[in-house]
Amino acid sequence: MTDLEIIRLYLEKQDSTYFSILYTKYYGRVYAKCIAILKYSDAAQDAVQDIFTKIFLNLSGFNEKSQFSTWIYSITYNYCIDIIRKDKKSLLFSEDIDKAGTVLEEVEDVFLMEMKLDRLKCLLDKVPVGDKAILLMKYQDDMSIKEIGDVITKSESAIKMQLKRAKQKIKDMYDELYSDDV
Amino acid sequence: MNNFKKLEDESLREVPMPSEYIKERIVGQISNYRTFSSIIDLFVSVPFKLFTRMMSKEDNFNSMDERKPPHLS
Repeated sequence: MTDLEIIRLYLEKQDSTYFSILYTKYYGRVYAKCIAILKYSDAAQDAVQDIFTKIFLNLSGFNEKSQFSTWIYSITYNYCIDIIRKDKKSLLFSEDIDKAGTVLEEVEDVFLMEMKLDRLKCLLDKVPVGDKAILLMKYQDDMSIKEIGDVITKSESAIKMQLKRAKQKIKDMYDELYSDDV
Repeated sequence: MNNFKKLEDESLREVPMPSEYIKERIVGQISNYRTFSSIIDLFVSVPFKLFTRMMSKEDNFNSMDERKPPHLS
């Protein structure tokens, strides 16, 4: 059965069996995204509960224009970024710490794709969470710039700039931390 | 498969099994919300609809009254 068929059956019969199928299918990825952004397992578990409740209460609003997985991940990132915004203790985006007027050079995607996995993981944990979320949405979940913009509530051009900054940040930290290997 | 997807696969191995406890709580929350919505519907929307219907009937009655010829009023 496809996701859409399960959704239609759930909406028609309101049977929690269909809810269980989708919950089991997407729990892992939703949890992994929550922990990537929120960092702590307790916070991630609370977030998973709220996110799935939100998803199932708004299921009739799923317009089928995008994939169901993209819709779920958008809600997940949106929820987690909102928590970070409310927290105000951590920086959301690197623009907050960048010096005005800094000229950014384009960092090629291949630089991120050919980096050793453990290094990429370490660097992603060091950039501001908003930058990390944008990079994950773009390269892990193949979301379009427009879809990312809808999640972060920023224009497409702002997202492109943010993506550029995030890649630059990763490159700068890489050069700083692993300069011996460069 | 790109590096980011490999990282996701790696992190999925560390994800705990889908929690039954969380699932039960979500099902409970959804059913509570539905019950609450139907109560709201029953005690607010239905009387509101009745009220607006009554008001519109009254308006129709008044407007009919206004349209009466002067010798009948």
